Amino acid sequence: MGTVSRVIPLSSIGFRVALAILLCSAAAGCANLRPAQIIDRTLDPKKPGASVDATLKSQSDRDGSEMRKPELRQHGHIPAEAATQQLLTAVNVEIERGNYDVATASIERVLQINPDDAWAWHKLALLHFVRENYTQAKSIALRSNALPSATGRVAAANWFLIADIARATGDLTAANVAYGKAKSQLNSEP
Amino acid sequence: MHDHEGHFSLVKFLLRHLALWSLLFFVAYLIWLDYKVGQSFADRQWAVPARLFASPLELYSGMRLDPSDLEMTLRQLGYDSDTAYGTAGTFTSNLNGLTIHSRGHRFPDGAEPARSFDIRFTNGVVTSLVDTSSGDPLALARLEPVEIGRINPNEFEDRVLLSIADTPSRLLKILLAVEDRRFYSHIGVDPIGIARAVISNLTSGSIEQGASTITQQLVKNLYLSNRRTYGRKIREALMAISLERQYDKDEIVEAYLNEIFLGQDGNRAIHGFALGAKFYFGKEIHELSLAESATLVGMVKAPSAYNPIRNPDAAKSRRDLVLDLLLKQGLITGEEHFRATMSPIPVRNRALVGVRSNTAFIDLVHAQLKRDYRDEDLKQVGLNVYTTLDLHIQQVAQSMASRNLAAIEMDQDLEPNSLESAVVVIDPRTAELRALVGSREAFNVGFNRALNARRSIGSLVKPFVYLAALEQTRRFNVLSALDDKPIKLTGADGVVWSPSNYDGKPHGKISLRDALVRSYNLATVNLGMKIGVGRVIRRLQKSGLAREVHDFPSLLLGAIELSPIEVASLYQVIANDGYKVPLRAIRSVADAQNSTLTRYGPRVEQVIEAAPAYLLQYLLTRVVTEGTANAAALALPGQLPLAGKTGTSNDGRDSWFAGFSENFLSVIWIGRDDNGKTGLTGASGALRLWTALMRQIGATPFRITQPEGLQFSWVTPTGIAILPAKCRAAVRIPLALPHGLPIRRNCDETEERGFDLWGQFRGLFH
Repeated sequence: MGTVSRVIPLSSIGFRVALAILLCSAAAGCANLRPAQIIDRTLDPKKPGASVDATLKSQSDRDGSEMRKPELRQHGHIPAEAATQQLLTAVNVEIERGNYDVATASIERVLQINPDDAWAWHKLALLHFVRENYTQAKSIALRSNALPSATGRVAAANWFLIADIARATGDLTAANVAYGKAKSQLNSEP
Repeated sequence: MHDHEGHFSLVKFLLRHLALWSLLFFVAYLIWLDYKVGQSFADRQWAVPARLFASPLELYSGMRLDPSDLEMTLRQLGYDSDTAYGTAGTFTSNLNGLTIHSRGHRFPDGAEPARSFDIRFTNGVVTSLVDTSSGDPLALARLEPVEIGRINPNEFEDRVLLSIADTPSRLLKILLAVEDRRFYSHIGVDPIGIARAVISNLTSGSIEQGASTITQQLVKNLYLSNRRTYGRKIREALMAISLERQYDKDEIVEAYLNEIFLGQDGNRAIHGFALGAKFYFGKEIHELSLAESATLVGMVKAPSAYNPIRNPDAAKSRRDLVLDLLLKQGLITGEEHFRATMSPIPVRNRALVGVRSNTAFIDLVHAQLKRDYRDEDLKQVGLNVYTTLDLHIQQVAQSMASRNLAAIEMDQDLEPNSLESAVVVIDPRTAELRALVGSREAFNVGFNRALNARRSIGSLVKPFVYLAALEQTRRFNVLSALDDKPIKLTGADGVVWSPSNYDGKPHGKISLRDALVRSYNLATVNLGMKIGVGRVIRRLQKSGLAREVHDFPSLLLGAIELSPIEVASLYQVIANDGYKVPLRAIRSVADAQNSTLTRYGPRVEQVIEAAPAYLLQYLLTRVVTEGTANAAALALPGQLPLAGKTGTSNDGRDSWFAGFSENFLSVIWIGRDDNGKTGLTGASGALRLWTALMRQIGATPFRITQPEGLQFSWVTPTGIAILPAKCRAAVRIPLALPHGLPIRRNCDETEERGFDLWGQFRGLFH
């Protein structure tokens, strides 16, 4: 994990992963959680106390804009999604605690129940990302975006993640393209 | 005189030395025996074969579930629906649903608690799930997984480990009352019992009666032979005393509870009370009734003679004797005795059914496990293997295969039982195998056709030929004109190959779309030769084809032999929008305490660009609605769109269908084991079984979503230029970008369409 902090400029990566997690959490009905501690533990061990709010705030200060937490997704819910919400909530808690194995197992359970859940695939991509499995993380993020249930917000979260993967692997051009796609997805949301 | 005294002294001297040396040897023997017993007992390992579990049933509000399917699952789990109301492992049916008292299970991803809940249904949909203790709605409840089999060598011991702490005290009391009343007070042997047995045996002149304590029985089972000799009995007694000296009573009785032999199931030996409870009664040990516990304890004396499955009358008499003894010793009341003796011997031999009906799937799981685990670990260390098998789908697939093959044979005037079949069902998103059928016979343990029958795939290869073309987005689109005209190709050996269409006729210029939808051979070969066989092979390999294939033109018509599971793997990529996920039969492997050792999650790789993948899906939905598989569309109107492709090898030796809905991809093969002609096409054979299966397992319409890099445009009828939408001849098609088509500003010879509705209607259907 220490390797990641050497490669990735924390300020922007942290912001995007934090945003991705936050978007994901919001859709899972758990926006009050603080899953971005995963970033502090895995990407910057020197700052164990940093929170998602702090990361978001520093980013919004730089941008001069207020970062708005996304609202819960109100549409497109199918029964399986409602049933798996509590699992997704538990996943956030496990990620927050750094229990990536447990979180991954729970995400896989969600996918067994509802393999079309784009948010669940996104979270799986995120878990690969924090373990530095960048190829898998990117493939799964793209797969998530190709699902019929991938709305603007999950698509944005996936593009932010893809941008971070590109940055982590030193491809700044691809990172900027992905970041642009993420922003346009967010802007296209009503 | 002196001589005599001298001799006497010598004899005395020798005798004294002999006695001394004998004593020394005996003491040395005792020390050695003590050491050996202590050591081997400490090092003992119970052989516990790996247990395989089906995917557990997840219950939630809004899910489609037939109440009868739920009941079947509960019965497979050994749930009672009658007397034992309110205890774990029971359920009751009522007007709108069921009340279930689940047992709970420690899954590798977390523990599912035992709980009581009501489940309500309306028209095959779960409408509510409520915890009966708290009255709160439940979002999700997971039943325990059904055990589907075990990894077994040819001769093997099977057991479920049981700790003394988990042993019901009633069972223990019954066991001690029957087998060894003074267990907690003797030193390993029971002198009173031995004296009684010796007298009895001396009187009769042979060894008839034993007075073995539980410790002696354990020593005999673990270390000694079954020979009835005084020498063996003495050794047994000495070893029992040694064992008692070194280990406490609970450790000894725990070992006994796990070691005891309780019968034979084929070449599988049932050891221990925990497996005995499961095997004979389909229950967890703590769920056993008094009568069932007495039956099991009664079997210890002679497991075969008192086997409740084979000899229920003898088992009942023995059980009643045990109950009499319990009453005499004051361990049960008269009422308990009466009720227990009145109850029949309830036998549920579900383990037998579970193991044998999923042979094809278990073969695959075993093969996959062997890659990561040593064979002895699979047979001995009590691994728990959580698989992806959906028992309901498996049973439907098996029964559909048996039933439809008989019907096809009858309709086609084929010899009864001449056809064989293989079925693979997967979830295309996660690539989890849901069912695998290797034979039309449910209990066939022979050749596993789903895994091992490599047969010519015929037209199932065509989608990959067309995909290889459509990936050249500037060169081909779905309306590109192809030549369905005769072609002669000469191989390196000088042999001329001249393929023909199934109807024997060439169709001239036709669209790429129609060529695939109608599965025209000539158009496909002409297209394949245009783009190159090598390109098609590379496309197949990129989609996951692992076998080496020769660069022959006949490959374009499916002259390549694959097993049904390999076909499923190739089609998974198409059904999953171009994302390859290797097929998986195992989710995780856990140790005996259910801590995860290995997890087999999905690994995803995009191997087809989004736009060509979309175009291929689009074409394969047309195969079902208007092409060679339109019988499926007629049979499943409510489940459209569905997508797929028929396949027929030379002279109808192999009938294939590979097709998918949103939730399932199923591959069906039908043919003869001797590779003889069947006269079947993909449509008249495999498609029929596929349709019946997809209807029964609840296939949902395939959602085809427009990806990035693709747009719908109005084009000329042969797809060579973009036309204004108003043109009468314009056809609206999906185009992968960059398409490279010239844009025409006017309709040229074509009429202006204006706002005519006919044109818009036409667009919808192209």
